[in-house]
Amino acid sequence: MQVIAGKYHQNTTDLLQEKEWIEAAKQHPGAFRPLYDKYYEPVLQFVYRRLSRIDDAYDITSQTFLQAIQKIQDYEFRGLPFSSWLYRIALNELNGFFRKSEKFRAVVIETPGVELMIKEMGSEVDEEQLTQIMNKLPLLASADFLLIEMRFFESKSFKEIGDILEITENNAKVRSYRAIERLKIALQKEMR
Amino acid sequence: MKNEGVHKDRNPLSQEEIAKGKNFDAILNKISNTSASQELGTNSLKGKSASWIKPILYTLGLVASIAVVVLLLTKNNANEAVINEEQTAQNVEISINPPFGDEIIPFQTAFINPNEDQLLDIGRSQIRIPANSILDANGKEVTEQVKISFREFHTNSEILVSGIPMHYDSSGTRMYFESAGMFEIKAQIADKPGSEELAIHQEKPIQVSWTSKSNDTYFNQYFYNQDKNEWEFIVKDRAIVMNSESDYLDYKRNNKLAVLEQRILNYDMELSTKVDEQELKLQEEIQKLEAQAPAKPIEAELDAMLVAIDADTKYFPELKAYDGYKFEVLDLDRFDQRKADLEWNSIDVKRGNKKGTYILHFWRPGEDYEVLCKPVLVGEDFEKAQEKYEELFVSYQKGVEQKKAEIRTKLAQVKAEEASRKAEFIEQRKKQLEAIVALRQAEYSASMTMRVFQVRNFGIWNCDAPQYLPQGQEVILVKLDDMGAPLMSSNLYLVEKGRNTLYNMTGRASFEINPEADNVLIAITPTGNIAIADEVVLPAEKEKAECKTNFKVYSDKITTMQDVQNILSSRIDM
Repeated sequence: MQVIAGKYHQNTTDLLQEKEWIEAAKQHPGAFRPLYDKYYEPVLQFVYRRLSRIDDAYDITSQTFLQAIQKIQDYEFRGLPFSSWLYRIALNELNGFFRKSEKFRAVVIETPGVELMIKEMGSEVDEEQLTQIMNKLPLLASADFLLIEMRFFESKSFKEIGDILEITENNAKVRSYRAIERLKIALQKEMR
Repeated sequence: MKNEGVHKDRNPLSQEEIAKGKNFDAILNKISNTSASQELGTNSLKGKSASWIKPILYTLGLVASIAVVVLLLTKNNANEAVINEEQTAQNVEISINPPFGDEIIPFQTAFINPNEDQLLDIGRSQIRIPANSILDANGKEVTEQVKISFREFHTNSEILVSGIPMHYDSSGTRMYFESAGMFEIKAQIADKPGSEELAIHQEKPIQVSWTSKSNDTYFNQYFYNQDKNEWEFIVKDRAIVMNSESDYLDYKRNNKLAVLEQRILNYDMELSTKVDEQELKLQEEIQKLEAQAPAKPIEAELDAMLVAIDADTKYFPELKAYDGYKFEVLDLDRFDQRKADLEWNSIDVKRGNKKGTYILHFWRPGEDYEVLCKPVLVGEDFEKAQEKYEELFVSYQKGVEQKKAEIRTKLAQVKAEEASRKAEFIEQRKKQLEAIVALRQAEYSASMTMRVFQVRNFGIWNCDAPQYLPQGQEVILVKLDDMGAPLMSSNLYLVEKGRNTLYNMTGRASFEINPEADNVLIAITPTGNIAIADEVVLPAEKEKAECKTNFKVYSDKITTMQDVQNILSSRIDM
């Protein structure tokens, strides 16, 4: 079992190094390579989590980096990891892919993430509840699932979720809690 | 939420699966092809439906192979000419091969001091060379005067004459550049003609702001790698389209101001350094003078151990006041009395670490001995020395004051001179700037697109967009001269009027022509004459067929670019 967590919190040296790479990539696309090497795997994992076929994940990851290189001139370094910007592009590419191919996203659920969610809901983890939640999650609204997915299955902080979705950290937190609340209500309805 | 499927505890990706999709070079290739793909949609697809374009592209290579077979089966004089062309084709295509010699488009030159920021106006371009950016073969900064050579190629005629290959292989597909123009920049040490080419510091690129005749914004920047004989994609071009002449002038003016400010800054630093150096030098003179201050005479202690030596006051001018001085041994506890009874071959005197102390160095074969001392006087000698010291000290003080006054005057003079030089320098630069801006105003009234290159290598650069070869009707070209006789040629080019793309068809037995374009064929005969077919009448058959085309051969000898332009400009240049 693997919970993929991108390395969001970086020290100043890493960030400055990243800034240098970004500036170089603005001058020459070939200079994007170290950023590609650093983020290829996290982006591929991020994309694949939302797909059923690995070949589609390769294409969309490649397209994500292509877009990133082409748009790098517009990227403004604000002292935050570059990853959020890449994930945002990846989400756009995924949406474009689903729209064009008339396909839908895949839902990938891992037990450790669900256990974490149950604990956060203030309940004890038991088999029955695990099964109920696992069955209920795919029925959530896609926006709610995205928040829960990033929080519990991808171990992203509210700050990072906020950066990816271009909302404030607080907003990310509030929306995530609301998503969990809605999940709780759905579960309670089922219990009755 | 609609979903394609739910995966519970799906196996994570293996390292092999992760590595399989990793290919940065493929992404870079896609980037370099993007412009071409975009262009394909707007220019090359005229009158075609997208459904049959793809197979054509995929089979271009196959068509070329079939063409060779057709060539072998067709037996007429015209095709023998094609065979000759085939033999020369590789030379024409794979390397720079100017059909009328390399000198026909002359370089414009400028001589620069590479140690300071430079802004050159050569032709229609502005070249900014950062200080210390030019390196020799060993990677060392060049300090001698450097000769910068620069020339531009804008039109189809100029590109044809340059002989620079204009094809670009993109993922195995041969494409041709639609050009927004090219330039070539070279550098050599000025007084070493024929010396090896210099290089550019990778962190201090030369900025070439280059005025392009094309206002289009879909071009890329490429560098021609002469070792590999291929174009290398560098970056997407960012054309700065000037909306008005004043924008253009502002752009140029800002560049000039930036260089001017940098130069003033550098010059200011240089002047400050000069003044500092001068100040330091004068300070040293004062210190030297102060070291010559006469030492105040000291009377010997009553129980002192004294050594009488006549040291040369040339080396110890501070002892001048001491007639009859002696050296009193310091640190008596460590003094070895027995040494005083020995006979020594030589005694050297040197200054001790502490001011007013001296070291006496005694030597005799097999032994030496050092004693720390201070100069002292005894009885009458002391009284006389005191009197002399008063005189010497007054004279010394006077000398020092005089010297300090001299130094202050000199320093003020140096500072004033430097300030005046700086003011003059700034004034000169301002005048230069005004003159250049005024000149630009007159010169540039039409060209409004600026393309900026960060040049990290000397050589040939272009601002182009790859295009597919023309498509439509495939022909076997049969070239005929004015008299209807087969025309031999060493070079053959196709131009679609209205586009700045020169397709080199040299050596191709057959090729496709876009029936909707206004096509012009240009041939260079083996004797170096230009032949033109202004009209290409395509055969009625839609399948590949012979296309007999009459060329007008110009007997004019080609020695200058003007000769070429007289014949070609009105026909193929935009």
